[in-house]
Amino acid sequence: MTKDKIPLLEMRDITKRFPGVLANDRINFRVHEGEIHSLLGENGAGKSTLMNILYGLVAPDSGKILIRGKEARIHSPLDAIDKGIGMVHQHFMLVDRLSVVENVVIGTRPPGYPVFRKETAVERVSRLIKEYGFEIDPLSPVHLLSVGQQQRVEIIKALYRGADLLILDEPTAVLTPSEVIELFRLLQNLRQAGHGIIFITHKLNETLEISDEITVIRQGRVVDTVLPQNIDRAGLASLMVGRNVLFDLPHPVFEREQRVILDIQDLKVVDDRKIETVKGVSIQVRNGEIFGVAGVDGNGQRELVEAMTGLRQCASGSIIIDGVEVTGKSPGEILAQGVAHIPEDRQVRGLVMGFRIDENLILHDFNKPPFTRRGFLQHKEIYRWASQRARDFDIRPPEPRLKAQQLSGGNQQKVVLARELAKQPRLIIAVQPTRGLDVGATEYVHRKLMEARSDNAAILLVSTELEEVLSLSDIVAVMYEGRIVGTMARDEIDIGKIGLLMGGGHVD
Amino acid sequence: MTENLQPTIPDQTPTGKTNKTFMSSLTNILLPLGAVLLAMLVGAIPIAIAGVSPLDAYRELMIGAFGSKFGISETIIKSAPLILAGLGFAFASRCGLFNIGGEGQIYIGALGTTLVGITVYGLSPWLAMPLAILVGGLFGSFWAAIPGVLKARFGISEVITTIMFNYIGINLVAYLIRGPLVEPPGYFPETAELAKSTWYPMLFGSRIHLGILVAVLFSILIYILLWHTPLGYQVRAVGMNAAAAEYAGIKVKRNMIIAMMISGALAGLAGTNEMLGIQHRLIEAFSPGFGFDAIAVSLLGQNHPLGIVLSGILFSGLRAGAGAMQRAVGIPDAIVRTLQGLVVLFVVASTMLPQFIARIRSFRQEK
Repeated sequence: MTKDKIPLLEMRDITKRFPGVLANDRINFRVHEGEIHSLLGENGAGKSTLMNILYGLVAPDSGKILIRGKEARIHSPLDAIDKGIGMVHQHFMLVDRLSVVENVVIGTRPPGYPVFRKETAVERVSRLIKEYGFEIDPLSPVHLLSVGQQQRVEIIKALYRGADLLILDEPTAVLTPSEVIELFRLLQNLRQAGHGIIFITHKLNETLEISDEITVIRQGRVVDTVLPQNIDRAGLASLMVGRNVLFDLPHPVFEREQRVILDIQDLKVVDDRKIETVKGVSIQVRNGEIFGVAGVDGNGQRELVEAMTGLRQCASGSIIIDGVEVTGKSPGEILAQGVAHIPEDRQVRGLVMGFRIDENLILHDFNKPPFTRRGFLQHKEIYRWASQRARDFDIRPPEPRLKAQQLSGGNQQKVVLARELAKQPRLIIAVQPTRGLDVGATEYVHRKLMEARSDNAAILLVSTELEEVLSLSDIVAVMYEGRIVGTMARDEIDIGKIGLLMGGGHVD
Repeated sequence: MTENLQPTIPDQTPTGKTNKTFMSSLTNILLPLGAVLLAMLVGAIPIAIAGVSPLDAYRELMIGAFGSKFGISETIIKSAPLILAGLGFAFASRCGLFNIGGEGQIYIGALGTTLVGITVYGLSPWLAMPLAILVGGLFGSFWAAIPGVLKARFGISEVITTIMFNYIGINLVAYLIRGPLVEPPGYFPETAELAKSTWYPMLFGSRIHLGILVAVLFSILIYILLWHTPLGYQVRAVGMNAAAAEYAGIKVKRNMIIAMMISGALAGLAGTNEMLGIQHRLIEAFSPGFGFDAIAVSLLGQNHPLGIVLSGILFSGLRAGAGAMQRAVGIPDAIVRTLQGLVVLFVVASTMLPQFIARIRSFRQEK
């Protein structure tokens, strides 16, 4: 390590206060040339604020930013780019129909200005691709690329603009295991070439694998800066959360009578483009059991869930819930079968963000007693019930009159859980239930799902977080290109095999 | 499992949150007021260019609107249709729909009322007037239901269809009062006079008629409907997040159609108001664009019944004062139109204000 050298980036005593929250409290943070530095912390810990300050999106209250030892004033992303800072956002900012080259040069003064000399642009971009080993066709339109390749285009974009410090925001969230390996190889090439890389993540294993140094932030403060060889997963987690975290929830085995609650037979579903994305799926989920569906995003999981919840027509096949055929029924009719949904995106499907907590909690039952009597909403009754729910599910702050949009992500998810689990559902359909949540909130959600399992609910868990599926499920199925390509019970799980299946490989 | 498994999410303190809620309701009132003041400030420029002291002009405007018995009654009379049509726009808005068709719905509502009014001669006012109101509302409702169904069923933008239905409605009325409904012998494009039993009675010995009370009554009803009934809950859920509402089993399309129908009924009642309170017969161009001004009224009133009552009175005050101002200082009443436009502009701009302030703050810190 090059500790004695002047760091590529030094952030000194960065403080930023938002109304009611000290988001960054005298944060010191350095990145050297040729170093991959992980920034680890829960949601709301202050990572994003710190990076937004660095990228010129937020002005700090106090503190300094030094680039190669010289104080830098960064007031906008343009300043940041000018100073050699590049950011790869979690959600890509690419133009689908344009080629890789066009996406890279867009927004910069094109070679040959005022005309666009495409050959020169292709040549320059190709040089970058070769230099760092990106392995990507510069002329291919972006929409034909895989997610991993699109991410590489974002990195090339930053490099083309002369970035020598790259900020990667949760870069592995959207990748398959093999794409993660590929990304890490590229990051190592970039490190060798002397770039500094800030790797924002909450995945402990990856942090340990790729980082040269790890800075952990909690509640706006730097808790510690550690070397990966001196710490393990549990140590990092407790630094991040401030207490010990249980990674493996107890998975008790119950002796009880089981019957099939959810029975899906040969289900076929087409997506909005009329392409068949669910190609004959059969699933049986029993009471007291978590059935996990693993798989990379975009392999038909969304359409499968939408068909089950009545949001999308089925092309063929049948869905039976506890003996009642619900194929083609409306969402309301399916809910009435004792089904709970924890939707993929709580802000889109799960909550009405402009509604108060109490209004969100009655979203299914608002027109039934005790919430509605004689045609009028009973606000007192609603408030009392919501206060109870808020306490039971530890929603913070426990004030039902707050709007959902005023809560943190974890607490928003608790509102969804409080509503969905309140009615003692027979079947729970949980899709990405911990997406975007920090370790503490994730643990809470997992615990609640395990409790529901103990209470004898049948649970279908659809998640792209393999770790989540593995730690919770009694049965793991892998979905690939609209089919269930493998199913195994908890005691016969083989991670290598699952990884292979998720990537479309064959297993004998 | 250990006991202290609570996630450590840095929440803002509960008191901070309450403050925020209080602040936001305060800004809900202050922002529109600021918008009105700014509009008057900017409006002073053309007045000064016209060679008149803006202070004099505004004084005359205020006197004309609120400074005399005549002014006040004019303001109140003109506010009723604005409030009703404004409620109509707001109701659709709450369901996430833009009903720009208020003007057409006003004409069709007036048509419905007229059809009752010219057939119920001899009927008791206790029956005739409610019937005329009811049918006016139903007609307006029907006129808005068509774009509502087109939207729900085929996804056709209600913005386009409601605008188009304005022309159809206005011209349909123009045709009817020249043809099938024309008062014999047919010299003028107008219908016969409505039965007196349907007329709104005058109040307080002035020109003020029952219409303002009807408008206030409906403001209260709409408030109750939106915040105290399951229907209002559904409509607001659909308006704020149709996807979540659908997921929760709420019938989104049905609610859209219902919201459009209630919206149209309210606009239709604005037409009824003009028939029973002012015109007493269906004529052309009886509405000076109430249906369009209603959009501004609703925006300024933050789509809230109470806000709409207040902004309806403000806008009608501007209208009523315009004539007085023109007579006293010789400024064309187009200036008042400009003022109305400026108010809307600043109201819309004020929704951007919080971001703007944040930017200025961060700019200052750089210095």
